[in-house]
Amino acid sequence: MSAPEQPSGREGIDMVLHAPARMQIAALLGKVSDMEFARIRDLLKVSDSVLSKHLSALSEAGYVDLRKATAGGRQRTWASLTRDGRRAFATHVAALRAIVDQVPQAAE
Amino acid sequence: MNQDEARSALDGVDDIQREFALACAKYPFWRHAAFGLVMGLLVLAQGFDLLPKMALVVVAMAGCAWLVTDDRRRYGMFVNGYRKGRTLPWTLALVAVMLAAGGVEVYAYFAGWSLAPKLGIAAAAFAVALMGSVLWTRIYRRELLAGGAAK
Repeated sequence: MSAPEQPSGREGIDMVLHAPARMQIAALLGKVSDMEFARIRDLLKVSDSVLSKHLSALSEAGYVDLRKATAGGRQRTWASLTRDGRRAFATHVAALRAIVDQVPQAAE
Repeated sequence: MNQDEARSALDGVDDIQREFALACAKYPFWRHAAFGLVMGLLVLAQGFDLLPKMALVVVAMAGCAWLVTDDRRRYGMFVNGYRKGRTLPWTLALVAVMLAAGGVEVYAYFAGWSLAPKLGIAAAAFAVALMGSVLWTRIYRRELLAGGAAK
């Protein structure tokens, strides 16, 4: 029995990373060892609550590690991309590229 | 997901990485010099007896730990020099040069060289590490600015 055919290019789309902000978080964390919550928030230009929600979703999926550390008397949250997160991000980007590349062929 | 949505998502990745490069991925000269100093101390340590060697290594390691802590406090992030990407070949080349400099220090120790040439080797290692750090950061920024997710 053969597996149901999926539209070419849609394989690998990760619904956890589907939200643009989550993809941008993964893209940022993929370039550093870890990054502080406030730094990510400032770069993404989102509110604390919005970033919290996205980081929680990424953390629940096992894509992001969150740790709290006290510095200068304040507790800060640090985020880093896990190995699974890196893999998922790479697969998701590849799937998006496939979609972008596929359309001109279909139009021929 | 259609083509426009996919392209927009990929553009979003490139945009945030470019913004990160412009806003964050730069370090002052003293930061590069501090890295050079740590490397210079590690190289210099190889030219001495066990006790001063251990003392210099401990000082260098403490300096390294301080740099990591200070990067996190000052910039809200840390970037490992051994990260994968365009910077990795440069990192490995720098490590090879530092190991070679350390090897020359070991030779100087067994050959009984005076302090001056040992300090000279360490000074050269400092200069190479400093320049290496500056160039590493440039390569890193170039990688971020180049984007590539949407290509």
